[in-house]
Amino acid sequence: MSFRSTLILVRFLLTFINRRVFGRGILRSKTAKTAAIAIALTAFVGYGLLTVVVVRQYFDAEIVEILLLSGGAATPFWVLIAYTIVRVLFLKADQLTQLTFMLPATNRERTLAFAIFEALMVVGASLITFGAFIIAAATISGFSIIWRAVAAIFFPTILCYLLFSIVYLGVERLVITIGAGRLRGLIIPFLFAAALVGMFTLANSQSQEMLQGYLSGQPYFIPQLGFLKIADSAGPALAVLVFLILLLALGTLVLVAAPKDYEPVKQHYRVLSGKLASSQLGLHLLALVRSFETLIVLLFATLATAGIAILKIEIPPYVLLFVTFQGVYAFANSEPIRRATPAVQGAVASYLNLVTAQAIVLLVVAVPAVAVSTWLGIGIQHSALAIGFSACNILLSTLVGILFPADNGNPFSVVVGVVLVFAIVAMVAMGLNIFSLPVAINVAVVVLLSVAVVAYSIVGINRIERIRRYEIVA
Amino acid sequence: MKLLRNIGIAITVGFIVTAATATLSMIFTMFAEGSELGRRLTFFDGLFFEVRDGANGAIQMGFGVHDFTPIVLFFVISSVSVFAFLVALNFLRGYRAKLIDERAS
Repeated sequence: MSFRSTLILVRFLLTFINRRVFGRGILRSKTAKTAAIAIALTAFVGYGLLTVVVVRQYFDAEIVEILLLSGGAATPFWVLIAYTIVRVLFLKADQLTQLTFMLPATNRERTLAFAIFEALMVVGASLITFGAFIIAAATISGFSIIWRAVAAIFFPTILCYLLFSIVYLGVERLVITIGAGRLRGLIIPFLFAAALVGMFTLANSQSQEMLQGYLSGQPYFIPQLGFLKIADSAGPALAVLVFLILLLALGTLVLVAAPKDYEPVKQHYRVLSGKLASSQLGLHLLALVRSFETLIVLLFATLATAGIAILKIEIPPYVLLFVTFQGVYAFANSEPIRRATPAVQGAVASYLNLVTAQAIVLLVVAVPAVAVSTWLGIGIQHSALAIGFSACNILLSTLVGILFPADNGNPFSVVVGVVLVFAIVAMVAMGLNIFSLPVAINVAVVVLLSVAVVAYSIVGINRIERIRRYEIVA
Repeated sequence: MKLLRNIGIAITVGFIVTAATATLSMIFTMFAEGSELGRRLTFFDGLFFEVRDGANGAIQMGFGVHDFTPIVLFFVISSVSVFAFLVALNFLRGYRAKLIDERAS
């Protein structure tokens, strides 16, 4: 195993990000890049200030301590959520992985190089999520809270991430051994989804045990809060030492668990009749439904609906949102359709096919989800609102996929696009909330913004297609 | 068509900038003024932020629109600025292309 080869791969991926993520789509322009950085910074500053205001307004040192302990106890649960999302994104990046085959690197070196990027995403997300809270908490409880947050949240986060990586790679090895390696795109997310249910139950019981122990002064033991206990009783140096030893041990196990050979993931499954391919809409529907990531979210939505029905959880059918995020891949996935058709397809027709295919999938999932919600006593107006949100989300995620095309299924374009669009949507939503406009005007504004999203998507497709046909030069 | 596109972009960006600036102004006022009781105005006196005593000694926060005029004015000025920027950008791009053509011929 050579770390030099890993570094070469990391440099290769950085070059890919620079050229294919920041050098294509809307981010090609310097003005757009500057605007994107400004939007991200503005949103983060706003989020940070709001967190500080809320924490200082409503919390005292004791509540901050309880929140810190609860956050630490729940670490495995939310790290597993983040890991599952990142894993599905990287499983989709099969073509990107295949680009590295010409480089002199083994599969373990490749695994390590990709793991570095995955870890950067998870650590970045943790810093953004908890950073503002920790800074706010420091203004109440003093700077010692920063160290306590590192021991209670960041150390367990990193170790949980490595632990899940070992489990993932172990399962990958197992499925490759039994000859089902190509199906791991479906098998592994399901195992993680099942693990999430167990982890949710565990996190709930651990949080209750911790709260009861904290309030009554009784001793309690939660492994993920072990570093905090060690730091409190024996000093931070020992906690850091234990963390480093575990980090080294788990890091080595990750490398040992990585399979020696790479096996591509099966990207499409034969679902629905091929006869649908006789029309453009049918082709787009097949491209959407047959891809493995759509099947994953469809099954997640079905399981969630079944879980809601069995446990009788009275919530509107927001599980529909699951199936609306596929829009980020819709444009890139339908690229072969546009290239294979001899006649030039107009941008409006292309766009309508993209969103109609997604709307059909949404409606099919909506029927049982709304039926379950109605059976549980949720008003039809709440279900209609959830469907409306989901429809808007289809338009937004399709726009993300056009402005930030996920070439070779790379996850970096998706993450950059989703973060930027989420920042804009969050600011607009908060602005509308502050303006406290009548409901009818709010609905009108949302409809107008959706029209703008559709218009920009069509203009984007038109421009990209004209560039591909050499009608204009980028 | 290009004019229509520029107007569309200007209105959309103007709306997003107005909503984002209003949100940030409100958050910054909440951050700077703390939890002292009373009503404060922000965003060119277009928005208000209020802290008042609630039940059981708790503090209640509220916010909303004090006067729509500055908000609408801000939206119009933002949109017009973006439109002017786009028109200037298009003009400069066209001028650059013309210079390149002239030098080539």
